[in-house]
Amino acid sequence: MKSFSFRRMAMFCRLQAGELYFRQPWKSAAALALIVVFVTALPLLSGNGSMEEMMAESEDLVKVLITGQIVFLYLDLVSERRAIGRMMIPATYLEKYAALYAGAALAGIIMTVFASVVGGAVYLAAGHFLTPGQDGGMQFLFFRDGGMNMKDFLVLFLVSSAVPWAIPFVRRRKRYRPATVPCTLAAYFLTLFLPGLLAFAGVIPPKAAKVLTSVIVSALTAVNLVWGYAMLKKYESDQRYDD
Amino acid sequence: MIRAENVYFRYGNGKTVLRDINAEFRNGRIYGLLGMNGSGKTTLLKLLAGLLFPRQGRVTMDGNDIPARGIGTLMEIFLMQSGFRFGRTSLKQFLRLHSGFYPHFSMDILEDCLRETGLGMDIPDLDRISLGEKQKVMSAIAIASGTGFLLMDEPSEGMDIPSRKIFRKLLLRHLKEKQTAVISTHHVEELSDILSDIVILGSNGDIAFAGSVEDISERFAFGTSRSAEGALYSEPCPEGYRIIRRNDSGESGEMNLEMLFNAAIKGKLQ
Repeated sequence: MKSFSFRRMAMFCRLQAGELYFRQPWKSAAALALIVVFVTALPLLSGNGSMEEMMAESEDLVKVLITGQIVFLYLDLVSERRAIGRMMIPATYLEKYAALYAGAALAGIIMTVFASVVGGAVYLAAGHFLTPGQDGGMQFLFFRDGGMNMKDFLVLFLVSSAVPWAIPFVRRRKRYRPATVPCTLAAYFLTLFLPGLLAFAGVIPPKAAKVLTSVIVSALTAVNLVWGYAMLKKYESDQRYDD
Repeated sequence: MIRAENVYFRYGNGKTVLRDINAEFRNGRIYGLLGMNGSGKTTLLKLLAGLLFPRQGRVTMDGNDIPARGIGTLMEIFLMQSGFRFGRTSLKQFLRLHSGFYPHFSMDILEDCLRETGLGMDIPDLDRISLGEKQKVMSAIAIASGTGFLLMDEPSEGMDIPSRKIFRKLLLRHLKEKQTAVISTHHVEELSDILSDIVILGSNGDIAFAGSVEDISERFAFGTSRSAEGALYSEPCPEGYRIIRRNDSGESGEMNLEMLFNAAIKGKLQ
């Protein structure tokens, strides 16, 4: 039996997406529209900064929402109360793990496109009131100048890849020595912010700190992916219910 | 065959729930997994399914470690947990998303099971049917899955009495020669007519008793008597005593599962 079948991975991805997002498609679309309107309207309501800055804030909020999808999908993967537990579905760990990222990517793309159009429309409408007389046309969130860059992708990958190891690692904290989890998390964040700290202390120039941060973020993403996969293999449904 | 060898298990740093479990679940049998509340029945089922890992010992299926959750193992095990949730979905949608993972899934068997239990394929929202109906649907899906091992935790919970009888009938009708069912239940008497093997968990997490129905019938005689003398176990009743004694005649008699359970829990069948 193959340890990775693209067909099974796609079926597993369809299973999660079907049950989480497309169970009631119209309600899901309406909920997504409401959330997107809310997160795009939030910076407008605060009214701080220029239109460009408010759009950037809206994009940041949508990025947080997108990152939240992998948390949602992971918690579903290890859910205890599903009629057929996801861990019992006949698919390999690798297929389930790949499906997790495929599902998150799919959700991310849909949310980005949706937010881009809906958010763009909200800002177009708001522009008539906030900057009357200036008709710059509709600007799509994320697809405008400076809407998305490499740094955003790196951060998105880092955070998304951290979820599958961080959740089980923290959940299993009682299995380790008391200091293990806090020390590991502290070391993780220290590594991440080390270049910034070194630059702040004047040890390395800011440009070198940026390059070093990119290298560290890429390395940590790779570590996250391997570690998350290992944690999935160790996953146990260790909540006790009535026997 | 699923085999548990010297299995110990505890949750976190808590007390040991299962200790020194040695059991074999052979192909083509129907096992009743019995025990008091909190004796570890659900935990043992989860260990057999690979959802929990033994702290000591091994759980294997045909020699393969079950906790490794290999694709071949997962294709042969269907775990029906108690307290599960379908979520808001139609039966057809649920089947569309799940059945493809089970190579031997039979829509004919599913339809037969649903028809017998008074349900049909048109269930628009599985979240809005009663507990008993959910159990009927899930049992039907489990039976139709065609996996080698059906691990069922309280499958008849919430079902009315006629439906419980139908469930037993369907299990016997559709289980194939090499398929095995392990059924955990508190309704001891109800299953006595379909079980081929009994595993009783003791209150301290060990196996208090295990044996096949044929073996039990050959070893023990169940009956009523005016006196409890010479009995391995007795319970007072209007006729005198219900007793279990050694079967010296060698003839098989009818087994009283409830008596057997009570005797095993009290350590009278050692």
